[in-house]
Amino acid sequence: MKRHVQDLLPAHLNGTLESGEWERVTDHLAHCEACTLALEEWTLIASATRSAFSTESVDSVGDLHRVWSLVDEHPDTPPNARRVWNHIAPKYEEKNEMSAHTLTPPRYPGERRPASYAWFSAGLVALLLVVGSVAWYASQPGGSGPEPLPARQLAGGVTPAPSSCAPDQSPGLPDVAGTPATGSTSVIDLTEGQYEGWGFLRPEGLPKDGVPVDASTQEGIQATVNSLTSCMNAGDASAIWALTSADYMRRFAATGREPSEVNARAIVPMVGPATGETPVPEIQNAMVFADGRVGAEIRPGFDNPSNSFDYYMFVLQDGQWLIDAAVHVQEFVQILLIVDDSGFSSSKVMVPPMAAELVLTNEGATSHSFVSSDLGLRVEVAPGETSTISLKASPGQYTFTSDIPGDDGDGFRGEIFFEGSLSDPDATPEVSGQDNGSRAPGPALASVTVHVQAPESYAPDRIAVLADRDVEMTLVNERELEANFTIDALGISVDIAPGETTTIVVNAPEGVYAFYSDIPGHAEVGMSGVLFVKDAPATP
Amino acid sequence: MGDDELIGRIAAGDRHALTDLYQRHRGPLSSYLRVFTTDAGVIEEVVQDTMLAVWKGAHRFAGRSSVRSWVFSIARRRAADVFRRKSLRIEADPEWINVADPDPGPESRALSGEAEDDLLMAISSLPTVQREVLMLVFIHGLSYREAAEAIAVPVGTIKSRLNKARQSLRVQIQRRADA
Repeated sequence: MKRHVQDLLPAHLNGTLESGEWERVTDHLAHCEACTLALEEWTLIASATRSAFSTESVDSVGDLHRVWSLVDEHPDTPPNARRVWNHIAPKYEEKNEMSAHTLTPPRYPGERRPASYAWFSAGLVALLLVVGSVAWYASQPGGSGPEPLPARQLAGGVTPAPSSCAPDQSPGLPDVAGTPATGSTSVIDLTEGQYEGWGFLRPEGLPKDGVPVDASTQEGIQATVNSLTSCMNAGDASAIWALTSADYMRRFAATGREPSEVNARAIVPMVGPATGETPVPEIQNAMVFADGRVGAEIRPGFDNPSNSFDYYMFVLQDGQWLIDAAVHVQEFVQILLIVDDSGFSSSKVMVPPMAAELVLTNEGATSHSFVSSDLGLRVEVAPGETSTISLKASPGQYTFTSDIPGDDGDGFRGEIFFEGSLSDPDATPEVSGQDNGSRAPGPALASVTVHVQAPESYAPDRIAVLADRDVEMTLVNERELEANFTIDALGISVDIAPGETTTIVVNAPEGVYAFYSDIPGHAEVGMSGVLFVKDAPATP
Repeated sequence: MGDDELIGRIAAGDRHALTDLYQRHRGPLSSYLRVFTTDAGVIEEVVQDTMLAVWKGAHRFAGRSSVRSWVFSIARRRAADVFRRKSLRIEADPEWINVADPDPGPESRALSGEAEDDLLMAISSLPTVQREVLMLVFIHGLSYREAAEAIAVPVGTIKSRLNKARQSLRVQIQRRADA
């Protein structure tokens, strides 16, 4: 009773309890000292919350100028309109948005999609610091933090005033619609497998057949990057757009996105937030390629914990090196796992098919260990200490625990999944559970039904299907809330409305694939699972 | 005119109704979005995106939730889209799986009136998802059910996030007091 009543105290305070509940809680409070103390605490928290967020009131004057211009521009665009990025559509189709948003950006290779990483934390506290610039951004104190860019209406004909951030540029928006197609493919050439479905380029995927640039070229691209930084700091989106090549703009226009301020910042992800003091990024390994373009690594000029950088392709136009492509490169990922005296923060750890490190922090009062006999790993961590473990294994499912005496609760047992292709030469096709308590995915199926249930979970959440053939997956959402089913590596992402059933066809090579719901909040509470794709057993 | 009626008119193509809804919800939405970003330009972008989604999706509003939590839930998804483009992310929730909700703890008061300044600082250091729930409940006055609809989680998650927020505020205040 006490537990239940304490859960209701915040609602009691904000007056949203149903009348019966309100009376029950009030009666209970009369003779429960602990609950009365808790209510006092909640009163303080409520008041502090109001103070903490009672910043300046929002100007009530505003208009829907941009909304109407979008509505008028795309009057017949159906809500599910699919737009694809030129050249890449066959392999990297955009997520099938069910929303009514007509400007949903296609996800082009290299565009970062940090939201998808949230799912690593699948079990829960395994926080992943993949895109650490985010944490960096978020950690900037409000007072000395980024000066907000002024809201501008870049669409709909309002042209911002010329800026001095890029003196060599002609200010104003490029004439997107009127830019003729050149017919060239200016995207960094991609080959199958570079992205592994993770939405970013891996270092191995960068072009390597160039020769180092000469000093004047280096100065030229440095000048562009300097302008980019100062335009960011000045909040001048139109000048940022002016630093991109005609072909970039043509490809951008084909996506149907607006050349807006926010999208301008997507060109320059790692330059950092507009703080007015963002340092100029470092340019490394600039090389000129056979087609005359120059590629270079753009390393953020601030302390960047994300193990990532951007790679730009520049093209010379009218004596100036303009940005022709920008992709995000992820070097390795870190998966954060916390252990305390009650167990690990996550019982399910997912490892993407790339270099990965497990960062284990002991927040408990006694020593704990991370032991995986399957992986041949054992690390002991003292209280307050952090240990980093390099993760490398064949795709599949493994177990971990702690072997410290006393660490015998369920919280100290977990499973770790390595995603990837089972056809790796050194892969061991041991994908089913072993006799160690892991749940096996069952026999490989030619069709399967997955239920989305409350509380957030998939049933089953270990699925085995046959490789290299069409497998029908029926997704049934039994919940009252929208759900989603995403497999990054296979480019699958479907929303399932409450109570609805959706059927998708999966045709995947042998491997281990993670699936999850990409709706914010879902993966974090455990809405994830693993798809094992296996060859049919040879019939004798 | 109630929000429900406005939605009905918007579904019928009444632009004035969308303008009314915008004027009514712009302040609360902007304030809610400040839990994710301090960038006024981004906030306005998300609010406008949200209004566009309302315009296109009003006919699908089923009335199962309140208009307010429906609009908030759209804003949250639009914010996630914008953050994805901008390489920001809504923090994952550092809550524990397979671990019971934090015990209400010893029956002593860890939080008291003297600690208000500390409490303010402690709140600002909470994980985003916990601050978000505090904000939805205490500033926007949403019921647990509405808050659950707004952020697409079950009602139990709202309760557990509130409990975890309180628990970690207690711990932080205690640490400060001990220090």
